[in-house]
Amino acid sequence: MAALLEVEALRKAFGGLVAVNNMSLSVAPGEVLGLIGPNGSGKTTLLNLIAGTLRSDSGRILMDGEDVTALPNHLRVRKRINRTFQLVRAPPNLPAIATVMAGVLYGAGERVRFKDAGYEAAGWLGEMNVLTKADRRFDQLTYIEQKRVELARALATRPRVLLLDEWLSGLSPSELEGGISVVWSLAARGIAVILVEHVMTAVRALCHRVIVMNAGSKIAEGPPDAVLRDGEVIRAYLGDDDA
Amino acid sequence: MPAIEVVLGGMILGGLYALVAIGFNLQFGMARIVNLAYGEFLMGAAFAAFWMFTLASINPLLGMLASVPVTFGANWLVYRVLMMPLVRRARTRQELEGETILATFGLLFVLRGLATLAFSADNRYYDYLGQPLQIFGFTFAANRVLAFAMACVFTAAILLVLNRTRFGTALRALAIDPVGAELVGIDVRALSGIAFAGGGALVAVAGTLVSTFLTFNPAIGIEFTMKALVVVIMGGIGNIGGSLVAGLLLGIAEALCSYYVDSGLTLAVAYALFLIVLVVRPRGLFGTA
Amino acid sequence: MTETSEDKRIRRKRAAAAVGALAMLVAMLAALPWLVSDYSLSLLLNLICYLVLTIAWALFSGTTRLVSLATSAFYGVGMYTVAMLIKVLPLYAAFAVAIGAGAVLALIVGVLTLRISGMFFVIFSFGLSEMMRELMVWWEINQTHTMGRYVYVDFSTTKIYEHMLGLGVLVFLVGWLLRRSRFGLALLVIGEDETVARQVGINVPFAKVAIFIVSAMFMTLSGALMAPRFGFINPNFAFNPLVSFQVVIMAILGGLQQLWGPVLGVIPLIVLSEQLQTEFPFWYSVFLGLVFMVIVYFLPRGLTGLLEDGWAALGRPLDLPRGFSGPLRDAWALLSRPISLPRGIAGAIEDRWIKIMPRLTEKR
Repeated sequence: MAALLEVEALRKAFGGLVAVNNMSLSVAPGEVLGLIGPNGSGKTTLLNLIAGTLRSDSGRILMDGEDVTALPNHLRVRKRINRTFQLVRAPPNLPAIATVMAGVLYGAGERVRFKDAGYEAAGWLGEMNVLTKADRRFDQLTYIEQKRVELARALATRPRVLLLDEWLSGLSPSELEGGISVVWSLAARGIAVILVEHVMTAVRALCHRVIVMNAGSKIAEGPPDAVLRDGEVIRAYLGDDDA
Repeated sequence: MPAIEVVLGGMILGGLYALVAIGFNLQFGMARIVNLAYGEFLMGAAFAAFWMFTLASINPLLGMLASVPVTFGANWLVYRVLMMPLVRRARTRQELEGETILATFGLLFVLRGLATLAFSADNRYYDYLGQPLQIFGFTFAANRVLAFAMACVFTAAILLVLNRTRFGTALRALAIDPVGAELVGIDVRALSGIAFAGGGALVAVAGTLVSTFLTFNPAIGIEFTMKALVVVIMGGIGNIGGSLVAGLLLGIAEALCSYYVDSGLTLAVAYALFLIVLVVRPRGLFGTA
Repeated sequence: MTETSEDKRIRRKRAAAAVGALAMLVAMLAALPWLVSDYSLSLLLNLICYLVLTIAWALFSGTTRLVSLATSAFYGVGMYTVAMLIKVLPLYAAFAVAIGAGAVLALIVGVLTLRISGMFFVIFSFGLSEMMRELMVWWEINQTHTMGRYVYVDFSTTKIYEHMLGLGVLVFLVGWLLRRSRFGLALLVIGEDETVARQVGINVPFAKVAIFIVSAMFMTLSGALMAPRFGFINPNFAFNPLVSFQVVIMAILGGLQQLWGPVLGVIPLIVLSEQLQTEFPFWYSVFLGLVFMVIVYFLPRGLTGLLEDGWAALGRPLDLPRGFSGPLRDAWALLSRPISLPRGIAGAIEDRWIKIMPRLTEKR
């Protein structure tokens, strides 16, 4: 299938530290691409570059053939690229539905009337099974509820590419199962998902392909089983002795 | 007056701006407090020097031996009584900045009001070493040269302390990362208090020096606070060397504008520089930690 | 509790009664100049003027959480522009130019500083008034060789009052509409977390600059309206940092959660300033500073926070027969509804919930 998102030779350096070094990847609609690697390998930085939170030093990002490299964060949202944050972020003092409404009103593309936005936002919250918490302040929700509201916020902007930054971390086994099926349903809908994860069961269960990063560069790419057996990858995570 | 003399004259004023800015940097970059009332302490020191000179004929430099420790102590009290509750309350650095801006904004009006009550709003001036001095063929007022020399001495002393002593290293650590500093055993609260008080002491020195050659009144505080802010941001928050260079730059820019355009536009010059730096290099001329 | 058409009718009637009560209040205020003494009129004018300034301030700073210390700059621009142009332009034209000048200044300041960091904006706004004053003094000395302008125009205090009252209604309306609008939601999100705002597709710098300009235009116009009151205006008088300071105090004292919060801040401070300014003008500055610090340290939610806590502590109030006070209380409730959900959402949620999971519907 033709790739929806193409990233070519992205590079980002902070002073002397090269966080992302010549990274290229592509994702097709409905595909779940895993992005794994030890801590500090540049995964979140790469997500930031794709989402537009950070500007890359060089390289290109193509969305459906269109060069979006120069677009700022909020315009990339309008190009249907969205993400969740590693540490869940949403306006803490506003009710959950307000956050999702903001997504509907500003990110969904077509103009929605303010009154109707509430209904649509309620729909997204319902899909994430947190509709009963719609009027609760965000900082009064439990961790898993916050994660779901944040995903509802991302989905409200009708993304075609969704970047999930450790969305499945910190969950109990049953919550993890629920989370995995949520991600699976997103891919089934045709959304291209890039999943940054440390939870290997999720990676094995969900990802068609996996890219491994270490110190900013790609060191392996392929189906999860093959990649996780790769000597280079094991060395990156565990050191030489276990390779 | 040839251009070079204007520039040199500007450097003299710039040295003072550098001193004021370094003190502000101690409070902002190290103790992490945005002290909008900073200039009021400068004004207070200026008045103290004035009263000591006109009433008791005390040499301003000698008078500093009294006014500087007093200002040090006063600022230390301000930190402990007024700032520490905010430090404890704030959850993020931005929140702390916002809260201290508001609190010191209030303090500014309290101090200015008290000063206006005590001293009346008139302009004050006194003549100390007002004779002209010839240096390398250029003429400067002796008090300005003295002010510049003292500013150099104090700046050098601060730089020495910061770069060559353990205490100074701790202060620099505080500017870069207070959490990390705490983890290596630095008493962040106590050190912040000392840094804050130190900034106050420096501004007292600057105030005394300024009073020797400028006309002043209780309202000059805001202008100096603004210039300190501009210089600190230009030079990089937490970067003492940067404050030095930026301060000199501001002084020269002001002198040039004063000579070629108009002497009443000093704040506009500062703002223009501020904006240029913000637009071109938001991290300051030398970047920030 | 689904909203039946009966409920809807009752709600509409109550809203109409509330609006009616408010309209009566405004009419009464408008009639006051013919009922009170000159001194009281002057006091009322001050009150409404500061109310406009404070609500305008809250439009920007209350939502985006960026403390603007630039109120004096815009107020001064309004006042001084009229003072400068009054001899060459008719009064209303001067007002229009003043608003334009304020908007342009806000645009420049906003575009330059709001993109970068909130803190830089606050710092910049702090000295903006001083810089404008300096610029105006320079201009006057060098270009016109005067220092201050005489403003003699036939525009009575009563006229100023009526115009200011209209401006007050307008700014109140804008604030009310903002709370129920897409743009208002965007501003709230920006105030809470800018990163999320960007991630939702909001053009953050544009929104901040836009509301800053709106706020500045109100402030400028109120300054312009006040110009005909004073026979002689010089830059030092027009650009007085105390105005910025008072507005911030009034806003924070009153509390920013509710739209009517500023009223609670403006009234006590204006009344107090009238008492103190004449007898102890410099004590006023000290007093204000102390009050302000007390608020920052002990009352961060202002008087509205205190009132809300008090109200909650007292428990449910007695139910009064509706009579005359009923519509008043509805007006009160209408004005004090904070932005949380549009009214229809509660119904929408419940409808959906009932449709999806009938077994889990709770008894209310």
